[in-house]
Amino acid sequence: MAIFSGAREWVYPQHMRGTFHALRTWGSVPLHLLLFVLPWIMINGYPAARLDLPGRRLYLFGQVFTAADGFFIALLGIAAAFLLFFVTALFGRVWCGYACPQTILLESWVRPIEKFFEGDRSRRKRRDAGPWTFDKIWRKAGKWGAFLLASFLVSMAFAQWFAGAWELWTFQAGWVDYILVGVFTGLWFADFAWFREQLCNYLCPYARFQGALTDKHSLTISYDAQRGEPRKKGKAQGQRGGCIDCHKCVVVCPQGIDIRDGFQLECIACGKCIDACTSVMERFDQPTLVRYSTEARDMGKVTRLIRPRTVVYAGLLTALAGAMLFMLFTHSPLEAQVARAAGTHYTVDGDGYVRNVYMLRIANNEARGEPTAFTVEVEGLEGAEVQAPEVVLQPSTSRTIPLVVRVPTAEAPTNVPITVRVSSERDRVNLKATFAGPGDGRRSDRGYGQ
Amino acid sequence: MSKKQLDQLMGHGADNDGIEEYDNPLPDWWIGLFIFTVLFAVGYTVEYHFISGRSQDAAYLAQLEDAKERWPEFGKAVGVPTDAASIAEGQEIYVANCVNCHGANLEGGIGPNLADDEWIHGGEPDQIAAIVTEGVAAKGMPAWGGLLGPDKVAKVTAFVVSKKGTQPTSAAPTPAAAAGASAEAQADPVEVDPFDPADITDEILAAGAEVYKTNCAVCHLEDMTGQVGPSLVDGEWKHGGELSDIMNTVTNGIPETAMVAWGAVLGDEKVRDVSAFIYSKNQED
Amino acid sequence: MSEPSVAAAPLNPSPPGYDDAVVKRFLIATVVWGIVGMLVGVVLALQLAWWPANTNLPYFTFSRLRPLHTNAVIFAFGGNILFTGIYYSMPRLLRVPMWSKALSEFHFWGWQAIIVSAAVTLPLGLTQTHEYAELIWPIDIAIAVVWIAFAINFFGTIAVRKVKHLYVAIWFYMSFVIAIPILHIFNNLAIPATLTRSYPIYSGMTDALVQWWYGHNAVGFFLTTPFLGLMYYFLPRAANRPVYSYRLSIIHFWALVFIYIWAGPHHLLYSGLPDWVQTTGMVFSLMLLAPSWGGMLNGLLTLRGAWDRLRSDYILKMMVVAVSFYGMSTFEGPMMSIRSVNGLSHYTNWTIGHVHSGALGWVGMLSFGILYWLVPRLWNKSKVYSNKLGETHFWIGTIGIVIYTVAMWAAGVTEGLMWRAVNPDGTLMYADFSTIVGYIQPFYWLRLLGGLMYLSGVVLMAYNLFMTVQQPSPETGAAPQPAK
Repeated sequence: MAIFSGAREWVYPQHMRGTFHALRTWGSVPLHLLLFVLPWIMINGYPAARLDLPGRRLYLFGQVFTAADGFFIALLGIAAAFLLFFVTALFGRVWCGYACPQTILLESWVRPIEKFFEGDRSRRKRRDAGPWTFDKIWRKAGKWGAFLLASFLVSMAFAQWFAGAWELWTFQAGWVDYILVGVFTGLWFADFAWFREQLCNYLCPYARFQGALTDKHSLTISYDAQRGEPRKKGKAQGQRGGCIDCHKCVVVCPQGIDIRDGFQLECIACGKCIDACTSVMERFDQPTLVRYSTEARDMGKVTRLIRPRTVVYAGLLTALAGAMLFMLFTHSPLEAQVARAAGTHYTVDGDGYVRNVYMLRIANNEARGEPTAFTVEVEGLEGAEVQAPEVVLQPSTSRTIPLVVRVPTAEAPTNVPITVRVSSERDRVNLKATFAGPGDGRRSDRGYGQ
Repeated sequence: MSKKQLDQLMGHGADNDGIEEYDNPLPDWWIGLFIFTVLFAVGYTVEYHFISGRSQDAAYLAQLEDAKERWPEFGKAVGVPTDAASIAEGQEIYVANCVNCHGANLEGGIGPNLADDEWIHGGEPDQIAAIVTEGVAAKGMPAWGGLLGPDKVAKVTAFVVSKKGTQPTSAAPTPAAAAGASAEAQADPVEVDPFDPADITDEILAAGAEVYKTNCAVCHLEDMTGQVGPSLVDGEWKHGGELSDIMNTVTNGIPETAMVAWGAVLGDEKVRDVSAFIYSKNQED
Repeated sequence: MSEPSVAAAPLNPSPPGYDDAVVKRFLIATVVWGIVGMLVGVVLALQLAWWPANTNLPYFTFSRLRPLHTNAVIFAFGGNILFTGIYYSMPRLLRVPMWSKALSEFHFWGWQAIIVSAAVTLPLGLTQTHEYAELIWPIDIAIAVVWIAFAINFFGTIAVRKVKHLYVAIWFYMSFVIAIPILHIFNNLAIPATLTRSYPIYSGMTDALVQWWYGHNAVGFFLTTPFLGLMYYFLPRAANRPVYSYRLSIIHFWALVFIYIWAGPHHLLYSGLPDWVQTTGMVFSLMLLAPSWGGMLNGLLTLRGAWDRLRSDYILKMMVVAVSFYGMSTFEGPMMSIRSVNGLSHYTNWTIGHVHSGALGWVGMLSFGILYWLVPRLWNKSKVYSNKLGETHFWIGTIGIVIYTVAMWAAGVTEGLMWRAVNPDGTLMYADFSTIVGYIQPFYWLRLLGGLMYLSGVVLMAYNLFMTVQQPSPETGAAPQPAK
């Protein structure tokens, strides 16, 4: 169709071995384990990682988080953002080249499959330009079939994190999970077979942010123009720079750019051009012309790792990590809140006691196990008489009970802060509340205290 | 398409304050996305309204059906007894736990009237027992099940059921707003015997202070500055500030509000005492 | 290369007859009202986290300050930066001075008078109680009058222009100048009862529908299309690069203005609104995705070839972050308009987070970039006073936005999940609403932190711009460099 004339140039990256290729290949092993294996590991009887959306539970390294732990999730999100800021400030878009699922999956699955069926760059290019022969058809069909299988496996791997690994692979998960696997298989297939680098160039906000998050001291891939220029084949020695203009760095680039044009939006810092240039320059006993460098270094200045930005990020990250570790270790499956019964203040009973009624909500966020018994005590009020039923809760249940606190009128001041303590055999929480009594307290103090 | 055809300047720069424009073609995927969303919009609309005939009402009913299937036991309760002994025992439980909010004659107050024929959550004995057990947390009704146990819940429900529809005429005006019920025909206000302010004694004031503390301070606060009910010491009187007015208000209550008719609860003497107490507080300044 | 290339201004003194005085005035008003509006926002954030901040005075309670915040940031800050950009770029794009200097003046003073009257009436509790249309009827009439004066001036300038081709920015401005009075007038049709009180001519669901037709298009035609116009002028100027695709700009413009106007009912999903109207709102919102992204693409791809400058140029950094946030919130928006997603997200703080990722990220960052670019040019200075402070502003603002939006997003999901949570026996797990509010409180503190950081950045900017103006101007003899 004419409107689909498009601005896209199909990229045929040539296979390239080298230091940075090896680094990514080895680095992708733990990343694959993370994706495929982590949800299978059980800690404390819970999956090491699973986000159970319909059950509103997050299992992480043996802990169970519920909606009540949303704040932890928020800190996790903010910490992830700062980590991205921090890493980018130091090492540029290293995330894109070595850790992004899209890059890793393209490099570990898509490129080898494509090479297996269709050969390397030049053969693929020639075949694509040619007519649809039987050879072309079966190779394409084989490649797409393998892509489809890969897409399915990857989608299942991602779905493990939500539906649970065992449940998913034994077909015990909900039908919604399998529909989502189907949808994501289709999306991954489209990405593997067609969309590829356009995701980074057009859609990915992290790609843009990382561009804006780099500065003069951040590591980016750059071409040493001083040594390389003027590039030319065949010019007399002395007149030409080190670059022989072999285009190897261009043909290996999965993003389809020429790194010699400078720092570009499309560059995912994967280092393939460095591997390419290294392999060529080796023959001349020269170091590579394309390398990881910083703008400061390129201008002959010193690259500073320690600078206000990185120090601030490191500080913030440490603080956030500390807060999250604290929350992780003090996290308990007992959740409780106390609030004054709606619309009530205090009452003086017939026997002269002042009565306050609270609503106490107790939840047992254990995902499974025996029912737990909870007891309620009140502290901070002399001679208080506490009426609260004993609460026994099944896992994953909660209950709201009335909590009645009474004291003789003579001992009841206006507003006293009290502590409501809810405890089970294993856990305990202290809640703050206010006991209201007769007196001349100001109006604004009333009704708000819990 | 080769690179040569991309990035062609249009020559608008001279007109555009120096801003040049390329005329690059639209990305394939962008056009594809646009077409997809348009097709999806049409397909979704046709499916939703014409093929499946979905609607939010239907979705609501489906969820309701689903809930009934998942929780068939919900709302069912133990049998509620009808014998006199249980009802008498239920009355004791009621007085100990429920009077604060529902009133001595079940006429309501903070909680709704339990003696009329209006039932927000269903008036069948089992439904009432279920509410007592589970509470209505959103409205401040605690779940008493755990505190009282099923036996006491059944008995207190028996008592409430026995009073159902009695419309206690002595307590008269329904606090309709609190009950969420429509304004029913209200019983005639009770005539109040006149009492001369000059006859107020210290004993009456002391007794009135006690009555106030026990019954009125919940809403009007100990210092009478008002919270649920209005302030009684700010000199503003919606229903009259003379002693006779106050006595009338206390006796008959204010319809449509949480101000209950206390005449039947307290009796004439206590009404007189507490009214005198309130009245005198306003004469001091 | 050590100086940010853009912040060091290639001077482009105003050609004779161009009224840059009014541009300067609008610019100063932008900064002043921006600080006021965002300060009120920070106070509101504090009030939500810590109720005593509501004080005992009715004028400073959340309910009265909230409309003051929204009106101040949208119409005072947003409006003034738009007028700044329009009055600056119009004569330059059309090669004629504005048609009437008197109308420009009237527009400026009229608009500021409206803002001041809003700042007085809203704390006094005088309101029409329609979101973003709270102002009482006499002020509404004043808005209409001032706007018509602006429209006459605007179209008058186009009529007498000296160029044939209308640049795409002008098209986006046009949609703004035309759509806003239509929306404003039809939503505010009311019968006055007293000087301060009136009754809308619509009632019930009709009123709600008209209100959200207005409310959503205030976002569309106040905070989106004219800001895209600004992007189309200032981003290529700052990057000194050609716009990526003329074709794309035209197609996404028409798609955007046609589709936007129908999307309002997505604010009323699962309400008394007829199902088919709800469907209309939802599907038109989904169709907005590609047209919105058209603007994002054109903005980003225009930066091809200038990407290396991002490392040292905070003006371009701000613009890139703005365009990225535009892309993210125009993805999030259509998703949130899907019925089932809306069932979770509606009435939660997620909505607040969504709005602020657009407002702080897109509108705010773009405006700051423009301000840093414009001030040295308008006041004829060789550079911004301190590039370091500008960098700091960028970082502190970006971190502030991240904290703000993540906190609100997590709060929204927490709320959405808790409202729906049921016990195994079918009863509500969080039956008492206040329990959930207790859970949201820590997020409110976090949001306050994010907002405070963002506001600090703006205060830094105000100081930096003030000091820029205080610098001595370069020698007048220097030949003005023509903009490339």
